[in-house]
Amino acid sequence: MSNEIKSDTQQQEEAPAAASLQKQAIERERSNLKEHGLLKVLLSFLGSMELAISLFVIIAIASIIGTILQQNQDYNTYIVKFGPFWFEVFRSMELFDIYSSWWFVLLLGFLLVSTATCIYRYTPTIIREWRQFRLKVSSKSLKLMHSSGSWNTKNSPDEAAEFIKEKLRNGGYQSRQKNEQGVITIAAKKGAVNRLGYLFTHGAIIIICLSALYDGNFNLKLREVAGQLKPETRDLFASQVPDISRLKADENHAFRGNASIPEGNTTGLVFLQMRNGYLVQELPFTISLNEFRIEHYDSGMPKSFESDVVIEDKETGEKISKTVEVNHPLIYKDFAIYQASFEDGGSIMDIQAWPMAVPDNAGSAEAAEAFKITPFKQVIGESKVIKTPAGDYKLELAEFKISNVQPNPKAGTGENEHKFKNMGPSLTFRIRDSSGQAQEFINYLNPSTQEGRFFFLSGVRSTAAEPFRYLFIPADDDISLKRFFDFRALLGNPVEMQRIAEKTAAMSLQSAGVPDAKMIAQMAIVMQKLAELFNQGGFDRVLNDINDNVPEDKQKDVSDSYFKVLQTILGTVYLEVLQGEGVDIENSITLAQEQYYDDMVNTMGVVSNYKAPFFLQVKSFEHKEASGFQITKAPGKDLVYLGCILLCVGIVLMFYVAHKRIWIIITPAVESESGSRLIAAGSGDRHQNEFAMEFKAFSQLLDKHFMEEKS
Amino acid sequence: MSMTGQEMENIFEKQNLWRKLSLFDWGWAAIILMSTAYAWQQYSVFMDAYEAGILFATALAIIAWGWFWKPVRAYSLYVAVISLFAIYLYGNELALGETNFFLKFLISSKSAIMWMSALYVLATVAYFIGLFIGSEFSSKTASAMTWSATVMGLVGLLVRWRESYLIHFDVGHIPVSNLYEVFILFSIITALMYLYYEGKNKTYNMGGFVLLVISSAVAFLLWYGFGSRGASEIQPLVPALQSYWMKIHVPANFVGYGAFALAAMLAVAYLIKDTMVKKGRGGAIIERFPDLDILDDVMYKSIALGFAFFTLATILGAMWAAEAWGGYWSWDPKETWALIVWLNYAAWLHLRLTKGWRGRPLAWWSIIGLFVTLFAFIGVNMFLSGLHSYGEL
Repeated sequence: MSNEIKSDTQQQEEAPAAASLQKQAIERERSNLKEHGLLKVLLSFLGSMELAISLFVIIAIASIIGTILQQNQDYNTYIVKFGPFWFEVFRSMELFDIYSSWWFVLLLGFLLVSTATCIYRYTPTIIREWRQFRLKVSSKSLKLMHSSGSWNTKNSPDEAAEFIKEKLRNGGYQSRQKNEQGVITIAAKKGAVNRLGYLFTHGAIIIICLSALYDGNFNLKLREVAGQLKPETRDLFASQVPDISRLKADENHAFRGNASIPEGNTTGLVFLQMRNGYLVQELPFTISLNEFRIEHYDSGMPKSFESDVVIEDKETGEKISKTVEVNHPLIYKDFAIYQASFEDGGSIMDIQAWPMAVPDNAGSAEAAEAFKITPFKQVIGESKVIKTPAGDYKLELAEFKISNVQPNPKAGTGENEHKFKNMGPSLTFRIRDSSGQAQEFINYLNPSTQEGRFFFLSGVRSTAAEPFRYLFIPADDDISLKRFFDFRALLGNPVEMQRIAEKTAAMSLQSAGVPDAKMIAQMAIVMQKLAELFNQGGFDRVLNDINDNVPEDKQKDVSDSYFKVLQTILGTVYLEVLQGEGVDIENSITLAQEQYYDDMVNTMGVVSNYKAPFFLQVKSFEHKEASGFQITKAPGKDLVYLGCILLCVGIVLMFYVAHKRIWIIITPAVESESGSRLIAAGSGDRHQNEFAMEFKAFSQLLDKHFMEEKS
Repeated sequence: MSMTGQEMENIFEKQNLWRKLSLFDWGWAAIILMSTAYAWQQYSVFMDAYEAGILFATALAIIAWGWFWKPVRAYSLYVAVISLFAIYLYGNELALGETNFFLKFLISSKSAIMWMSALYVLATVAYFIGLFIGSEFSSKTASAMTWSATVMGLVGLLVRWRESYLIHFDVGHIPVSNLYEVFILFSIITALMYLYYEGKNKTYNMGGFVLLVISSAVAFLLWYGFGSRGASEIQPLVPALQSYWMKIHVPANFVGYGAFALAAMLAVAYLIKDTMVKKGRGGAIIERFPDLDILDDVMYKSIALGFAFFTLATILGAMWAAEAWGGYWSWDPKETWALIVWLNYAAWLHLRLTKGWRGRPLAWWSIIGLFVTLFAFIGVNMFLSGLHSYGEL
């Protein structure tokens, strides 16, 4: 940059010879520009260091905004965050897509122009500096330099010059000699490539920026302004996207798009994200995903994932089969296909929904009958309306995970040596009521063990910020949920319950020796009522009822007897359920079946906190994965790399190659014919300290040589 | 470039690089080449072409480094001997780290890092004592402790590398993959750069300032690695990080970060001395501060070195991104902050080289630069999300 010449005062002090030459260069340039006043002003503005530094700072600050404000999010997210007013302000400033906004690209453009101007203005000087030896120096200017010295020798000027030239050559200097009226001037330089460092670094910036701009989506923005393109913001199937949002294969020289391909599917399109919308880019080939594979570490973290793909050229029909892996993209013609991510590709769940809600008309036979949902199939990502006596609910299947690895709490206790355990597949879903309120659930498909018994786990929460609260449903002898829901169904069936209550009341009163029909009827009513309360909210519900309706001093007695009665009827109901399963209840109830009763009663006690109209069981599933690819075409990439190499080489040249000059003027001594007088001086440009040491060594060398010859 | 007085005198004598090298230099090269050949013979089946390239390029770089800066040779030998001893003690049994005396208390990765941490903190104190009371003994002790800490730090990393393979072959990876590991790297790189300038300028009095930033890194390391976060546990690599690029991108970056940190601490020393001298309060302590010229010069050299490596690291990062993420530049927060750091030091260098600025304004600027660098280094992982979310806090 030309300011380099004007304002580097230190350099001028230390190297007046160099500075005077640089001044000449400026003056030449000035006179060239004299006629073009405006151009001159423009050039000196664009090439000024102030502009360059300001641009650095402004670009840095603008970039910061883009890192703090998450870019290219859904517009609704921004509206929620900032409100409609600020959203509109930010949007008009293109703050949501800052790095391809007009003003940001304009700033980069300014930087480019500024850099180019500097190169334009400084290149002639650099080339001169690089090539010329500068034989035009005077003894006077040499003496003024920081590093300088003078010597007398008996050697003739030619002998002295030969000696000095040899030493300079050894020291890595190139030199030129000028003889004028017996005065020998030697000009030597070393490391002149340092000057090229300037051209390399600044040229590299221009190459990198231009190539990157060429690879960017700037052309699409231009076409958008021209009205030829319009990003689609609706969630459509690719085939439904209108032509104004589509790009033909040959229409776009550079892009970066995404495609998610389920196993067994084929696509010839990618989606290019553009602000809050997208464009559909056609490819000149199709990609089919044959197989997606994923491996995990013991901790459940993905270790590697890869896709077997087949590329088929749309024109030639040529087919290529390859495996694409993270960090190992597939390069096809000008395109690169990257393994980017993976997701569910539409796994199919085979679902059984068990009734859970206790509707308002609970207890009626109709309610029990109406609440039977036939098993159905549903795909992940889709939703379905389910009718229940408690109203219509929308079931949204959110996510299916084939495995859930968690740290094993028992690790290292000897019981289980594995640090992690796999909880098996899980389904995350939401149940949304008619008012739009949703609860989120996570159900583990396989039962997990607690103290040696199997339980089915289901977590529930109202918002994503909460942790899941888990319901443990004991698994029956067949490791299924059937017994639990049979038990609930029986409890919820008034006709059956009346029969069971009467039977139980008669049996218990008879065994107690009070076979009074009236008392039996009364007790049956109490039993049925207690069972109903229990069905609604477990023992707590019963307890609350007692607390509400019984005087305080009698509560304990009442609750003791009520619980005895309740246990009796629940036991009978359970036995009926077991009988229904074909268990010989007189002779062979197992320990496990006894334990099951306790677990089930416990679960029933908390089930009212599980606010769901039905319990979802995935009976089987068909797992389907989709592989996420990023497909890019970046013709400017190689140029960017070339620029990068230039940049690195340039930086090394600038910082680590010292540009040094040494001048020696040898004049024949006046008093004796054979002797001569030397003046030597030099400058190390930006490496003054290092040069000072080198010049000291040079001086010592001359001291020694000429001293020896004196003696 | 550094040269001793002897080398300077010889600069104008007819000679070449090969003649400048002593027998020791050749011995050094031979040891490195033999070790490399052994590594190649043992492990070449596990290496792809890039990794083989990295192995041989590293060998050449270490040879050149040892020729350029002689103390590296002794340093490397200490590190090699101790690390190999630890690896020998481990055998194939990771659990020995808890039972074997040497491993448990000295040279298992965690113990070595603990020693490193303790020695850096002690060295910081000793450097300041040396500066304040002018005790040469204290300064020399500090220097020796810094060297030892740097040995233990690298031993810690190398042994950790081996430990990761002992956990499971699949888990094994170079220990530059999370914040805990790179903070160790940062500490030893900064220390090595400082030690180089200490030797070159023959002054111990910059030490306290530089070690202060290393001690801060150590404090963070202990909190982050051994506190409730337990980041000192070796974790397997996510697929995106399983690449030879990591072996070159991350270390190159930390030469940059280390150099910028070094420059900033020298800037602090510069400003203190300059202010006190200007106020006429330059007592004996201020006298002992390094010369302003030296501080200014080392600050410049450090930033130039940092800038060169940071540029290289960013380019390597872009090339890796092109291979892993499908684009050499994505305006990901980490990338963007790398650009911001780069622009910041580009401005600094322009001001110094072109506008001829010196001294105070640039000292202030490099202190601000440290904060920008710190944000790029830690802040991005703490506050922003993006593709670089490996070392989350």
